[in-house]
Amino acid sequence: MNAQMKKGVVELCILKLIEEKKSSAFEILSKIKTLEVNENTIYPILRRLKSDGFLFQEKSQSDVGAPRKYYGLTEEGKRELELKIHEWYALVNHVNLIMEGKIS
Amino acid sequence: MKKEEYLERLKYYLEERDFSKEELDEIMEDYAIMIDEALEKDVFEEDLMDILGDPREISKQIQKRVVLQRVKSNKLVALSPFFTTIIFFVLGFGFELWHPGWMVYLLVPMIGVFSGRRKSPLKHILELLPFFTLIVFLGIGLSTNVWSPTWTIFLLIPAFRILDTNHLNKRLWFILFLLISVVYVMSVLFFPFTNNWLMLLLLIIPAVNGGIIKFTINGVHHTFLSWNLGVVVVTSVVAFLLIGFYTGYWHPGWLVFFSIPITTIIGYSKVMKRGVPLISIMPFIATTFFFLAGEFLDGYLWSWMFFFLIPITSILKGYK
Repeated sequence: MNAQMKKGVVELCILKLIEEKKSSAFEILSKIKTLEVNENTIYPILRRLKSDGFLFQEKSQSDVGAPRKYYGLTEEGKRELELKIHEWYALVNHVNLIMEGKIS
Repeated sequence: MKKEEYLERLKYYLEERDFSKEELDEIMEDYAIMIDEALEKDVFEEDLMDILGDPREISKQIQKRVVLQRVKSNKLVALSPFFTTIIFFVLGFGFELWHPGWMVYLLVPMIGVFSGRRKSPLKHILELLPFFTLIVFLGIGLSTNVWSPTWTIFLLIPAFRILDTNHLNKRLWFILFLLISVVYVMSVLFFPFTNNWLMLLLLIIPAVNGGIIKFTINGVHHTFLSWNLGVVVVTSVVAFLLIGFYTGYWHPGWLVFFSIPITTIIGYSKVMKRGVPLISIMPFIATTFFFLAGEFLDGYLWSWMFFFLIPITSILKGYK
C-alpha cells in the first residue's frame, strides 16, 4: 500500500480505536503496528488530530504505576469518523466491483 | 537506549525545530508517560527506539504540521529567492555591483528565520546573528580591508549562546565574555603588543562556565567525537591566526572555521550510521570555492556560480 493511501487508513483506524475505547498513545501504537505503519508517524498523527479538534486528551492517575494520558473522541471527531467510515466503505465497494469485473 | 537518553535526544531534536515552550513541554511529557507505560508492559529499554520510533524522525514528523500552519508566511519565504535575484540583477546590471551585491542572497535565510514562530526574541537573535555578523564582517572587511579585528564580531555568536543556557550566573559569564573580547579589540587598536591574541584564550573561562562548551554532540555524549571536534576547533583557531598573522589573509583565512560544522555533520552521520548528507555540507563548499576563486583568481564576476552547487545537489539527491 502506498504511503498516501496508508496515511488515510491509519487516521481512520486511530479514530475507530479511540471511539471504541479511550486509549493511550502507547496502546494505539501497539494496536496499529499490525498495519506495518512507521512508528515515527503515529504520535504526530495523534497530535494533528488533537489540534484539528477531533481528539481530546485527559490525564489520569493510575492505581498501579505511572500516570497515563488517554485520548478520547470529541463530537467533531465522531462526525469525522462517520465521514471517514462512509468514504472507506464507498471506496472498498467500488474497488470490489472493479475487481469482480462488474464495472466495465 | 535508556529512558533518559531517549528523552534527552528527543528534547535536543525538538529544540532544533520551531516548537513553542508549551508544545515542547507537552510532547516531552507525553513521551515520558509513553515510555513509562512501555516499560511497565515489559518493553526493554534497548527496544524503545524500535517501539516508539526515532526521536529525530518524530520531531521531523511533528513539525510537518507546524509547517502547514505557516502556509501564509511560507509564501513569503518561497518568493524571497526571486525577489533577491531581481535585486541582485538590478545591482549587477544597473550599478556594476555584482560584488558585494551577492550579499542580498543572505536575506533569504533571514526571511526564513523571521517567518518562523519562534519561542523567544533571544532565539530570533541567535538565529539571525550568523547572518548579521557575516554581513557586518564582509561589509567592513571589503570596504576598508580591515579584516582583523573585524572578525571578532563573530564572538557575538558564542556570547549570546551563553544567555540561552540554563546556567546560573549566565549574565555574568556573558558580560565577561564580551569584556574579554572588547579588551582584545582595544588592545589591537590602541595598545598593541606581541601575541596579544593569547588573551582570547581567556574566553574559555566564560565559555565553559556559561555552558556553551559541552562535551556532547547533538544532545548525546560521545567522547570520541567530542575530542575530535575539540581538536578541529583548536586547530582551526590556530590555523586562522597563523594564516592571518603570517600571510595577512584574514580573509579568506576565516574559511578554515567551516571545518567545524563540516566535522560535526560528518561525525554525526558516522555515529548514526547514516550516509554523509552532501546537501548539508554543500553550502560550506560552495562558499569556500566562491571566496577562493574570487580572491585568488580575481573571479568574483563568475565565482558566485558556485552557489548553484547547492540547488543542483538538492535536486540530484532529491531524485535518488
